[in-house]
Amino acid sequence: MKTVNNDKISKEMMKIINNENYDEHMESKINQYINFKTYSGLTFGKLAVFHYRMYGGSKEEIYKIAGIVELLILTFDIIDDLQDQDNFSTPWSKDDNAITLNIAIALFSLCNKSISMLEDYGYGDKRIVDLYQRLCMESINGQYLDVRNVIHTEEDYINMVCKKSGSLTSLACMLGASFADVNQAELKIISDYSIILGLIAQINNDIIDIQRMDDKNDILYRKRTLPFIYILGGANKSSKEVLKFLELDTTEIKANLPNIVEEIKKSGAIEYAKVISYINKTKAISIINKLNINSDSMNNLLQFMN
Amino acid sequence: MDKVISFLIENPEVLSKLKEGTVSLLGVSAEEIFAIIEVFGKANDSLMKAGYWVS
Repeated sequence: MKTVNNDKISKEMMKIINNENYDEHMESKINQYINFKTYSGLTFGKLAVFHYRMYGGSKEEIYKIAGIVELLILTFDIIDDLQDQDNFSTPWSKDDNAITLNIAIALFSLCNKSISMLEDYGYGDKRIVDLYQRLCMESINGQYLDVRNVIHTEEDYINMVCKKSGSLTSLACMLGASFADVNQAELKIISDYSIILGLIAQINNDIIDIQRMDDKNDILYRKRTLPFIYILGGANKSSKEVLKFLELDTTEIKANLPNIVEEIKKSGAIEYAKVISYINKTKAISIINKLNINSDSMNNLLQFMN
Repeated sequence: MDKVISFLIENPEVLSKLKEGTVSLLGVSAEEIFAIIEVFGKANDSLMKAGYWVS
């Protein structure tokens, strides 16, 4: 299988932007954001292209879909950072919030317009627009649950992440496959495992982020991630130690971060999250095995799991 | 699952017995036990980081 071209996705993103009549300053900012996103990796766009090719698609127009998908992911990343205020490394976090919010609105509006115009250009059909709208809405609902910080149990967390992250992964995979005219039965299988793929990726992010030694450690923001939910249960001495640290103010928590991370590691929170991730990975693989695709595509798809 | 993991952290000897198949955990499926053994057996495995998968 041909390698998915990162530059082609990035160029499509730029082309979509440059075709619009944006304010010069705003356009320059968006181009800067796209460059950053490209450097970080365009996984969702790649998933779209990959799923298109899995079903024999060979048109270059798939990169247009991949570009729209990545612009949407960029939009949601910006909004997430604006809401959480926990990421200071992205170019949009360094800009004024009012400017960034305006750009996010412009991007979201452009993504919606671009998807609905695909049919006019002879690419895709209403099914693609419906999928896009349904999965966008699902992700927004998941994000709403996340920002309300009302996640108390493993079940709450999985429900929220499947909506917030799973639906975006699903959107990328399903749009790509739909563009190749895949049948409904295959699309249902793709929907089932791609949501889990997004869940696994999020759990793995949580595992990394709760062990960080910098300002991005989720514990500083008391984010309801899977390992944090385990800690909140206070089931053992180390979990209780972490909870005691959390009674301190943020400056003191920062100062004690090495000790807190040490207790988190001793508590079993990391192993717990890894077990949940592993169980879901097994589940996703068993669903992937139901796909009617050739062994080359199957092996490539399974590589996304590693 | 959180209670199971916490129990294993506090009673690591049960993990060895679990691997040997000489004990079982009530209410935990075979798939879940397999996942537990795999995770506890690999302390520093690599993780799939969202947004950073590469083709």
